[in-house]
Amino acid sequence: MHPYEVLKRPLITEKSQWQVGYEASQYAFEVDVRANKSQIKEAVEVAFDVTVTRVNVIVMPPKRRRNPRSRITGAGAAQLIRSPKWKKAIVQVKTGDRIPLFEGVA
Amino acid sequence: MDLQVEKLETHEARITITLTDEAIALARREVARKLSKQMRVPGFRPGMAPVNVVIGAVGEQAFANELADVLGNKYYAKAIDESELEPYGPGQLEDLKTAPPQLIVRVPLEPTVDLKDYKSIRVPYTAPAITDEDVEQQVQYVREENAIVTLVERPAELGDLVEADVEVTAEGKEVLHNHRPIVLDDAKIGLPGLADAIVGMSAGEHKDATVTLPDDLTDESLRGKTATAVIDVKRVSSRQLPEVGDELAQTVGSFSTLDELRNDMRNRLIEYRTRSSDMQYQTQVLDTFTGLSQVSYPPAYLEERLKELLDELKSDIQRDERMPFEEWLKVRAKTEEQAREELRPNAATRARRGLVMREMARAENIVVTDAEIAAEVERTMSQYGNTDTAELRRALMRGDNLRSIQNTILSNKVLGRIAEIARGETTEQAVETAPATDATEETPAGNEASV
Repeated sequence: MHPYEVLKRPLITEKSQWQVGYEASQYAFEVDVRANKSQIKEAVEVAFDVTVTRVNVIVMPPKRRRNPRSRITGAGAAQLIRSPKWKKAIVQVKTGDRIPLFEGVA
Repeated sequence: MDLQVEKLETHEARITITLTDEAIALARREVARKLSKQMRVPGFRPGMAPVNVVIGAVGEQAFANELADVLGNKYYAKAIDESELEPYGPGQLEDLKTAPPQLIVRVPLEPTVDLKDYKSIRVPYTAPAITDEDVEQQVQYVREENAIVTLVERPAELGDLVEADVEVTAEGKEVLHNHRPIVLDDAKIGLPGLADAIVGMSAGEHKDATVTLPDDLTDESLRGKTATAVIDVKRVSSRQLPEVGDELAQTVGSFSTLDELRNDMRNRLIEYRTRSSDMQYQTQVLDTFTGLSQVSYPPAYLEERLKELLDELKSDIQRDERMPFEEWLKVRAKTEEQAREELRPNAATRARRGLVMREMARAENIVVTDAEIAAEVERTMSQYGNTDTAELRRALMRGDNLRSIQNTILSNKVLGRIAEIARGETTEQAVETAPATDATEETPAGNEASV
């Protein structure tokens, strides 16, 4: 897998912002479901020029919900919406390394 | 917070507020908190998104605007307090510098008026003189009003009352168009020669005549030109003026002798002329006072007066011309902006006069008492006739109406006072020059307090 195919987007949320503030910063990404830890490590190191010390991954389960405002009537009323499963990676970098994409924590 | 105040020539002040970096950082966080509460930032609970994320969401410019707002609210009032300026209105943010963090605000200042040595200003006052001739003229009017008019079957003579269609045109323009009865007298018609043209005509006759237009015609382009007059006489009546005598006086009203009539006319003339010359005098004095005082006000003050004038113009047009303001502008081929600019000199005069009068009221301790307001309200009510009085009174004693009544009374009192000063009729002056004279019309306490 090419490193640039691995990382899909940075996850910038309250939790991930908090983790950036750790002594050794942790950054969260959505990654390709097929990617493994070593591929993620390589991808982050290439893309952001940092040294990765640890990679945690978690597969976020697919979810289903119903849209009560759907215009479909009858037996299939309240259209079913599925979201696919996706893989989240939390990458810890060497103390002192930073990824500017997440910078600017107040 | 560090302050730097610079007074500008336009009667404004420029305040430079230098802030610490911490203060700015605090304000930025506050803004981020506020903005992320207003809009949802995905991944964050409302109000919890950090500054950089918020900037990314709303954009640099919007964030800066909001920041300026917050800083202004926070530090402007404090700065005004500390600088001990008297602001007239809200300040305007000129610039927000980042390094070092500085807020630059332009503040319009409260207008100041220096009346100078207004107590020594004298303006000569000439009381209106009523001559016997004036009275005689009035009597003449009465005579003409009471003339006995009889229809006659003869050609018209000078002094007759003629009912005729008269159309005078010159160069395609209409100068005079009259259907009403006219007295054959050049002085009354206003077009010399026209009366002569009508003389000799009988009822039912038609005539085309030419007259030379006088040099004092309102339309300048037609002065001295020759005009054609189309005259159709319908009726000719003779007028017989009543004799000047006691009988005339008796027919006019409840007078028994001519002298009584004359006296009454004289008194009325005096009253009328005094009033109009007093008003003229007051305006003249106010202008003199205004001219001598030193008044300075910020542009914002002028703009407000300008807005007042424009609003007045608009409502006047609505009332008198019965057309919307936009239409009026179209008819005159003007934009609202041009109309506004034309009013600018008026606004300046009004601003100066108003300020001088306000300062004068303060300096002379002139106040409006409740009794005066009540009297004025009664007077206004009597003008409206017998409408529902209780309701009308309540309406008059409220809000804008009350304020305008107060203003009227106050400005009348101020004008009266400055007229007294200008004539040298103040109590102090009277005490200085002639202690015995009785000139204690106004309260001495008011004068003492102002000295």
